[in-house]
Formats: sequence, C-alpha cells, structure tokens
Amino acid sequence: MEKERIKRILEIIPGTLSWSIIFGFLGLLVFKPLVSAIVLIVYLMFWTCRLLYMSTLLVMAHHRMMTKKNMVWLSLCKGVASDKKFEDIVHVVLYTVYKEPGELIEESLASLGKINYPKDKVIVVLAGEERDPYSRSKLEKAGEKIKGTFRDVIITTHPKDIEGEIPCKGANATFSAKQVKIYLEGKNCDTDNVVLSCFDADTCPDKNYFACLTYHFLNNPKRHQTSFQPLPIYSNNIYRVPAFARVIEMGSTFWQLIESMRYEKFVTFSSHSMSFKTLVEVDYWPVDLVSDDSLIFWKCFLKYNGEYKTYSLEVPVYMDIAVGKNIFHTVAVQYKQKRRWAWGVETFAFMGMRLLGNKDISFGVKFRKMFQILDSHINWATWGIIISFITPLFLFWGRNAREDLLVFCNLSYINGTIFNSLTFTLILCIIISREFLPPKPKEVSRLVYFSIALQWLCIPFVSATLGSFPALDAQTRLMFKKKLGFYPTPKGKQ
Amino acid sequence: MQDKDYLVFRHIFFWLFFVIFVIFTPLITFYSLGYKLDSKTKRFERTGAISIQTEPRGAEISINGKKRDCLTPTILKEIMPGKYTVLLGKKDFYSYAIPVVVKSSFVSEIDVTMIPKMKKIARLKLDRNVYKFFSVKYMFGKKILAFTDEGIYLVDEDFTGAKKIADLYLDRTQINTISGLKEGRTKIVFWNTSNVWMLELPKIQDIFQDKAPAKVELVYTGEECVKDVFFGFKEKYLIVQDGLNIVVIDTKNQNVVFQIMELRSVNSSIFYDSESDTIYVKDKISPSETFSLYRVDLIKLIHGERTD
Repeated sequence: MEKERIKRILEIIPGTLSWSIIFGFLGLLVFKPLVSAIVLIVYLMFWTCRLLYMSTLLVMAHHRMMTKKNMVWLSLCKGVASDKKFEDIVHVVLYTVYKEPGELIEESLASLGKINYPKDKVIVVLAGEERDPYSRSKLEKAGEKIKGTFRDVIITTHPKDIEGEIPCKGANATFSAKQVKIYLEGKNCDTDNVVLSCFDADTCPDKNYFACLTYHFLNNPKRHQTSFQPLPIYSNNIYRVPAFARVIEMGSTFWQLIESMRYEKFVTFSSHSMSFKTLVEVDYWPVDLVSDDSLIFWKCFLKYNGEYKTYSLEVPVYMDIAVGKNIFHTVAVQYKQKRRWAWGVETFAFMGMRLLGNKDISFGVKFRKMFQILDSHINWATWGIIISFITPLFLFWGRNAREDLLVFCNLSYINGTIFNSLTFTLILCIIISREFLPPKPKEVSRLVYFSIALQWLCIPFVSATLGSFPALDAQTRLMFKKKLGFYPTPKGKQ
Repeated sequence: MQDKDYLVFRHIFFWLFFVIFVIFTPLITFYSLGYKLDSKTKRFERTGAISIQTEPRGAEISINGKKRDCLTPTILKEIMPGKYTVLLGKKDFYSYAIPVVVKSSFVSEIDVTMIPKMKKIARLKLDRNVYKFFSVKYMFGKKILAFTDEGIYLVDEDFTGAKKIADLYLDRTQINTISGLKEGRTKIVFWNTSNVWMLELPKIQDIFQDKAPAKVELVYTGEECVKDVFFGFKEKYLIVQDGLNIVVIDTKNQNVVFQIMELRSVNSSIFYDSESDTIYVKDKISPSETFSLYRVDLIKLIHGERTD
C-alpha cells in the first residue's frame, strides 16, 4: 500500500508542476502584475540563452554527423583493435509490425538489403501481432522477398491477451526477442557477440549503419553497458506530407541531435541498438508500459547501478513522418503520436520507485537523473504554451489593463528584441533541415521547396498545439490514472 | 574532431551562455523596471516614462524647453521622476503645453487632440442669413436646422443640399432669442423664455417632391419663464418647465394644458426620460432644505401605482 501511494505521488508530481507553472503565471498576472512581468522576463531570458546554447549543440551535432556519416566504417571496424573479432559479430534486426502496410515493410527491408555490411551476419526478425489478422501473411510475403539475402529471416507472431501485458510494442518485441534467444541457443551462437537493433516497421537504416554500429561495439570496452542510438531522420515521405507535420518531425530530429551532444543525459529513443546479452540480463523490454524505447535504457541503468550510457551513432536511420488520410486526420495522428512519446513521463514514477530502495547508486546520481526526467517533461509541457499563449496574453493585458506600469511597456520591447535575436535560430533550422532532404521525386513540384522554407513560420502554432498540449495531456492523464494505451502511428506513403 | 573535442566546445558554450544569462538578466530586469544610472548623483535611480499620443500624429515634442528627436506617438523612457512641462507643436496647429508628473516605474500618459489654426481652414458657406442653427438627427443621419430670414432650412452637414422645410413668421429678434431646441421622431420643438413652438418634420419624399413647406405652430405661451421643454408620452405631450411650474401640453390640442407640479426654487431643474416616461427633478423638498434629486414615474402614476 505504501509503495502504491508513493507511486501515485510520483505519477502526480509532473502534471502538478506543469499545471502549477501555467496557472502560476496567470495568477501572478492578475494578482501581482509587477512580479509576473519580472518572472516572465527571467523566463524569456532563460529560454533565449537555452535556445542559443542548444543551437550551438545542434550545429556541433550536425557537423559531427555530416563529417563522419560517410566514413569508411566497414574498413574501420575490420581494423579496430578489440578483444572481439569482427567476424564473430552477429546482428539481429528486429522489426516490430502492427497493421503497417506490407509495402512499407518491404521498402524497409529493401533498404536493409542495401547496407554496406556482410549480410550473412545479419538475422532479420519480423515480429507481428496476432491481433492483426493479416500479420502472418504479409510478413511471410515480405520475408519471402529477402530470402537468401541475409543469414536468416525469422517471423514471430505475438499472441494477444497474455496476462500481465498491455498491447504495446515492448510486449511484441520482448516476445520476439525471447524467440530469437531460443534460436541463437539452438545455433550455438554466443549472445555476447550479438547486437540487437530494434526498429520500427518504417525504419530504413543508412547504408553505413551496421558498419558504424559494429565499429563502436567492438571499440567500446563497456559495450554491454552501452546502448547505441542513431539519429532518426523523418524523411521517407517528407515531400508528401503537410508542412506542419514536417516541422514537428524535423523538430524531433533536431531535438535528438541536440540531446546526442549531451552524452551524460542521452537515452534511447525509438529505433536503437544494444547488446543482446544485456537485453536478456535486464529481462527485455517492459511488457506493461508504453514507453519501451526509453524504459529499456533505464532498466539497464538500474541493472548496472548507474553505469550505463547511450552512445550517439554518427549515422542516421530514416523513418516516415506520421500522416493521416487528410490534413485534419494528420493533425490528430501527430497529436496522438506526440502524446504517446510524452507518455515517457511515466519513467519518472518508474525510476523513482526503483531508485528509492537502491543503495548502490549515489544520491547525487539519483537526484540528477530524476531531475533530468522531470525537467525535460515539464519544459516540454509548458514552454510552448507560455511562449505562444501566455506571453502574448501578458503583452495584451499589460498594454490594455496596466499600461501605466513601465515594466509592461518595456516588456513588449524586450519580447520583440528577443524574438528578433532568435531569427538566427530559425535560419539555422532552415539551413540544417535542407541537409536532411532526400532527392525530390520527379512527380513532386519544385514549389515544395518554398513550402519547406516557409514551413518554419508555423513554429509558434506547432510548438504549443503539437508540442506542449500533447505533453500536458499525457501528464494530466497520468495524474488521474487514465491509462493511455499504445497508439500504433499510421505510417505509409500518401 | 573527436567526441572529447565536442565536449570541450560544449562546456565553453554552456558557461558562456550561463554567464550571459546571469549578467544580462538582472540588467534587463532592472532596465525594464526603469532603473538608470543618474550621471549627476552617480546612483541608480528608478525612472519613469511618458507616453504621448496626439491627434493628428507627428507632433514635435519638447520637455522643459528641450526638444526631442522623436515625433508623436511615442514613449519617452528614462525620465527622472518629477514635474515636467511637455510642449507639443505641429505646423498649422496651436501648440499645446501640458504639465505632467513622472513617477518611478510608471508611465504617465498624455493624449491630446490638437486644435487646428483657423486661418487656413477652407470655409464652407451657406448662402442664407442664418440667425440660429442647430444640429439634429434626421433619417439616420445628421443635418443642420438653420433658422434664416427666408424660413427654416434642413441642410446637409457639408452644406451640399439645403431644403426649406417650413416658413417662419418670427422676426429676427425673436429668432435670436430662441434658447433651446429638441427633436422628436417626427416633430421639433423650440422655445425662448416666453413661447414654445413646434414644427412637424417633413417626410423625406416630401422634401424631394418640393411639397409646400410646413408651418411653425405656437403651442404654448409661458406664464413665467420657459426654461426647458421635453417630448413625452411618445410625442403626444410636451412637458414644459415654465418658471416654478411643470406643465403638460397636448401636442394635438394645445388648449389642453395641465400643471402637474410646482417647484420650490427658481434654480430647480427637470429632466424627462422619454424612454421610461420618468421625470427627474432637482428641487427642494421643503423651503428650508437643500436641493435634492427625486423622480416621478409617470407611467406608474397613470396605471394607478402612486408612490407619494
């Protein structure tokens, strides 16, 4: 009972803090306008400095990726000085599939077939769901097309309604990984030499991905205490989606770029790779929680008492932008996807419960990690709302209701100056996003480039509605114990 | 570059922006509150600001005799607290000097409408001998009702059209004594201290068809001194303050006159609210008392609800 109570408190804290910040601003505006103006100035200055700092991280991460992406990784990993041999390394590429169209999976597998790496060292696992009646047939059809290309193709079907599980990607991946373990044991394959890559159905790895991954796996003495995270670039269908969807997904890419520079805070997200041996030791992904991608990192972190890191690979993977049947459906799809990502706030309670009784991790590390989780989710839920709605409200209210206060008069000027100074950040986003554009299909008009340049003007709208609101929604649901469930994002070319 | 090189740069930029935040945030906060280093006292003083708006825009500004580089509308910041005289000037407009008190961290507002110099104003002219004129609402617009030597004219505001609506048998002296005019929906009443006249407003088609002008009717001759006149009961009656008496006159039958109230002082006054048919009276309740304000709801009286 006590544990349940502590868990509930931890689940309530993020949402409470987020709402308190929002209502705190509004309350101060009404009851203490002078104080509210000062708080807003400090907040704006904080975010300006933070955004400028993150811009430098973005530039560095971009430089790192662009200078190293096309290195001769295969030669490097063959020549790396390591206690392991390149020839012994086996890759398991696990695709989790649920209701994605067969064409999408086949395209991802076709992309996998183009990797610059010995394919006889790659085992492809297609993990389907019994809940999808067409799963087996489409996976078999997809598997048939790549038969003989890789070492082996394994198709698994995750049974539905297993007790203790919720319908989620983690449960499917765990079931499939357990099948893989049986397979590997049957083939006398040492799991110490196996690297597992857990991909979404639409993930297309860069041709150098596995060579880069192998190099770092071999080169890292703490290979079993490291996850390997590629940069996700949402560009597979970039020319065929609405501008706001491009902006939000490009923003996700930029965020991953920025986070990749903060080595000590970097956690796994979406498609990632890790040691199969470690995966088994931590009992695979959680089967009853939605945020499997980040939680696997935290499980490993706890397993190794804080001595677990995520390494940012220099090569990306390419994925689809979530899109609906029309523009309104796309807004709904994007919102739900972001809300599912924001459900990662459940990590706070997850870690809190496990860190409480852990005597092997220092208090400093515990505090830093808990603060890191809380800080990222609260900022996610509040900053877009404060910048896009509360700040203009301040300016409007100050101009009309408290025009006699000098601070509100100056606030307009300060706000304008700050936003002008952030134009540099906008230009940076435009320049860097150009680097991630794939070649334009012939059937797409050249006018799309204007749309791509102008799309960044919808940041004020997008940051709040498809940034902060979904996060606030997720935190509020967690506060009131309304389970989210797993939302399989519709993917596919429009 | 190796990952450790990126880490070095990251630390440099982190501390750089941290220092920028730590230094500039208080500076900007103090600036926004109005703090400024006073060169004379060498101390930080909290300044105020003056917001100046003029109609029309573009007026030159001088404060205590010192001209400023900007024009209105503008906000002058970093003004030390105290009293100032702001002089606003614009070509072809009268200069406007206004005192203003500036307080710390507050914005003092100046919002003035500048008066144009009349010498260079283009004048519009109505070719009549006009003795009296009033602005009236007519047919959802405004018109000028001009009492001329040739009769009463209804004139457009820009003098583009002038239509005679009534003959006026009053001489010039009488016209000049007209002290008030009120308009109803279909009638106009005007008066001097002795008499009350009424005129039926023409319909718009009658004006265009140049029908014969209407006649001004003398509806009441005052016994003491007519001070004010109101339309009442949907223009069926006129309520007249005639000296100490309040009389009600039937507009269709001017012989029907009722004295409904007697005031106690020559300085008393009345107001008739035609929407609610209520008389508001400023009068003394008894001779020894000071003035008070009271109301008489005529509709309630008509329907039998007496409040006296």
